[in-house]
Amino acid sequence: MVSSFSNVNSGREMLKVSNLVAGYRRDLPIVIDVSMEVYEGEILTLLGPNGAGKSTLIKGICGLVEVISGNVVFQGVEISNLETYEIIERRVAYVPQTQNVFAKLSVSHNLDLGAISNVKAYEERLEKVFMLFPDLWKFKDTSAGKLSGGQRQMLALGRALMADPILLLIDEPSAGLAPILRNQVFQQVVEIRESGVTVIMVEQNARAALSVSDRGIILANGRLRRVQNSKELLEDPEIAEIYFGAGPTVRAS
Amino acid sequence: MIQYVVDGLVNGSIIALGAVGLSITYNVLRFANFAQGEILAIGAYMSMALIVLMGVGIGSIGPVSFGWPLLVSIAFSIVLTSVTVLLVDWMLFRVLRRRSASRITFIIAAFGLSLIFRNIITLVAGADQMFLSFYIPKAIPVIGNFKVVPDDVVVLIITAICVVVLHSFLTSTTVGKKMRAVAENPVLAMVNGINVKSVIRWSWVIGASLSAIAGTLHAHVTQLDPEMGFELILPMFAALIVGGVTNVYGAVLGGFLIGLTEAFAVSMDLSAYRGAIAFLIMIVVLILRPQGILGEKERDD
Amino acid sequence: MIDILSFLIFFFIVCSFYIISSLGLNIQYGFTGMFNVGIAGFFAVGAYTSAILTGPNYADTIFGGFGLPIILGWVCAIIVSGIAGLLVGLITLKLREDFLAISTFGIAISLQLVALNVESVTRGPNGLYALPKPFAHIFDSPFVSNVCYLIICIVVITMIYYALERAVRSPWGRVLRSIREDEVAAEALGKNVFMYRLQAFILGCGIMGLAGAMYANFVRFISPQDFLPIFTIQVYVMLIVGGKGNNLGAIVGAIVIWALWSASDSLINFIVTPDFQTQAAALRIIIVGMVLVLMLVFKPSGILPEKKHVSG
Repeated sequence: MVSSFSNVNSGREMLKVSNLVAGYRRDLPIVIDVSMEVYEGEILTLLGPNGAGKSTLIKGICGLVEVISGNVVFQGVEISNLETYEIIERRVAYVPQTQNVFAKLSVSHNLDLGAISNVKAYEERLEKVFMLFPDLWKFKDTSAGKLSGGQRQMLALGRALMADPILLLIDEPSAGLAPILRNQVFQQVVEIRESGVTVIMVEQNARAALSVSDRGIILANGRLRRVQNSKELLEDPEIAEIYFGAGPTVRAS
Repeated sequence: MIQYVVDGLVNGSIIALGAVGLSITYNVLRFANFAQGEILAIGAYMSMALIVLMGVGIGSIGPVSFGWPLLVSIAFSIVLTSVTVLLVDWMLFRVLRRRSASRITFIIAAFGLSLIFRNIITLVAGADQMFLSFYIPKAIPVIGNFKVVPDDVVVLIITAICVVVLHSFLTSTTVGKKMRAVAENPVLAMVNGINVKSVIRWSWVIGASLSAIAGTLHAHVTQLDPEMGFELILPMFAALIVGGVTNVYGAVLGGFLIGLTEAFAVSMDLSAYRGAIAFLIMIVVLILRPQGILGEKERDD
Repeated sequence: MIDILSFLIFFFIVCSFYIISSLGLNIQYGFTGMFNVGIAGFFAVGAYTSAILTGPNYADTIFGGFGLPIILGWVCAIIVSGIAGLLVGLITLKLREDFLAISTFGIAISLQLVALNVESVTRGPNGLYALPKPFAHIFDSPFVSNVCYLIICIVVITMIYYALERAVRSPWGRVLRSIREDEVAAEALGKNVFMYRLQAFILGCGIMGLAGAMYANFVRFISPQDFLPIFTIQVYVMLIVGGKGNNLGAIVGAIVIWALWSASDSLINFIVTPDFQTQAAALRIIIVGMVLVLMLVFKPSGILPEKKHVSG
């Protein structure tokens, strides 16, 4: 399925990353000299082999790793020197790949915490999240640690949406899910975008991810290799060989 | 016998309040704070300082041998102990956090800090024992032959109030909810838009406030000396582990258990081994149920 | 001249006990990343073991006074301290590192209470006295017997140093370092992390016990007052100042810190009137604590940083 949002450049520029160098330690940069733009209303997928720096790039955007040099400008304001909570306050949300729910707390408690930085229109948003993820309503009193993998991923997304973000960063939403659940998650990402949220996601399931996104970015060894429309990437024989050759991508770890 | 139980509960209250401070640093800042005993001692000495400055003794209310001067000095001590702890965090632990130092580095730093605090107290206040007042506990009959020391009852009431206030703080206030989120998963807390630095400051303030209260009460029912923190740290750690490190109410339960066991040891004429008894119980719990009575299995992070 | 020389000999003998303890700590903290807060306790176990086995028969004890050869006392000291380490390690090394710290701290305190209160074995605060010292019965002159003792110390230190150097360069040592760097990764390589940590912990405790035994047979009198927490802190300061993870650093750190400590002792006795001795002693401990904390903050790698081993 190719996204309906085809003419990506018509969107306003929302995020601009310039010559970003980032990593966990100053002497060990993982993302090297990456520049890119993200447009309002698009779904952008970051692809690349393990260790390419995809996750570190989105962590750099939301202040979870050190920005060694370069900068990140979100809606005209530089955010690369801000604390994570200050970036979140500017309506950026981030969903980690693992440990992305408070396992000891109930589903509704998790959702409450999602809204802790932005309490206005809480009821309305809660309703929206339950509409998008009806399962969460069913299990709202269950502790998050007892949920299945798919439900947990929904909670992680729902929790992030409770902060009413305009930019959502998702780290491998389909990791560890059964194929049928994967497609469901990607469908939900599309629905989230339809509600007016710009999405950047890191993915290993390149084909499925590209088929719901507008553009793809390919990273290797921390550097940006290609930025292209998803459609073009899907049709590119070189990309097909690397990423779709052996059917579903086999994860190394 | 009943007096031993009361003594155990009073002593347990102090251990419990101190252990709550330990529990908060353990869960929010993620290290065993060996300087916690000295934070109690600082709290006690701050109260002592104000009582000396005011020069009106500790007052009395009815049968209770302390009154508003002691309560005022506790309030004063809460403020100054919190400020001291925040200052130390800013100078030491903040720097280590920024450097992403290992947990062991934090523990060693705290251990060094305890030594520094203890000797600063000796330097400033001297090595000799001090007393907040000339308080001599006197039991009064309550029902028939059942006698209690009024001050002991008040200590228990103050502790109960502290625990209730702490509980409502953690469950009903935004800061409390944030604190629990940080305790469970700091990265996820951050991406929920929680200012972890502010939560850390709050954690120190709450730990220091409870310590100031516990330290002052301890000073009132016994005495002050520079070693008081050192003597309390092992029972507090034992309380933390026995109750369950991941559960703040476990620290309270553990505190009372350790207090009662110590009192029992005293009644058996084993007071020389008091410190070792807390340790023995701790070891038994570590063998039989390492997560403690109320604790859950820890996810190692 | 002979005065200065005999002072230096005395200085280096006492320094040796710190050097040995610091080497023992290095295997635990420096190489494996385990925080042992009970150094004074394991040192005391060694000291009391040797004192009880080699010491005279006191009228007021019910156990001890075996008058065994000193070398046997030292070997047993290593074994008994190692067993103490084994017990603590078995219980706590599977748990988060804080538990080891808390438990070793508890052990040190409990052992002190035992030393203080089990008078029928330790003579409590009165301590064990008239312990045998090697060569003391052969040479009348304390100077000559001290020279001999220093030689023994140097031989022991050299042996421990080379043994540890070999150990840390061996595959075993590489596993220890990989555990310190990343426990999960070491586990993933199929290493039994717990067993490796336990071995390193026991080895370190045994070495500390030996230091204690050598101390006991040198000063010839021990009491619970000799094994206070300040000793633990001193050894940490020595290792961290010298350079954790570097055996030469452990030795250099011990010499530097012990020299400063002794110098400050003389200075305090010289300039401070007896009325202020308590304050002066407190100030000195504050300074030691400050050195520790400042090192952790500003130069955690120490004077001689750990050599970068090629990871294999």
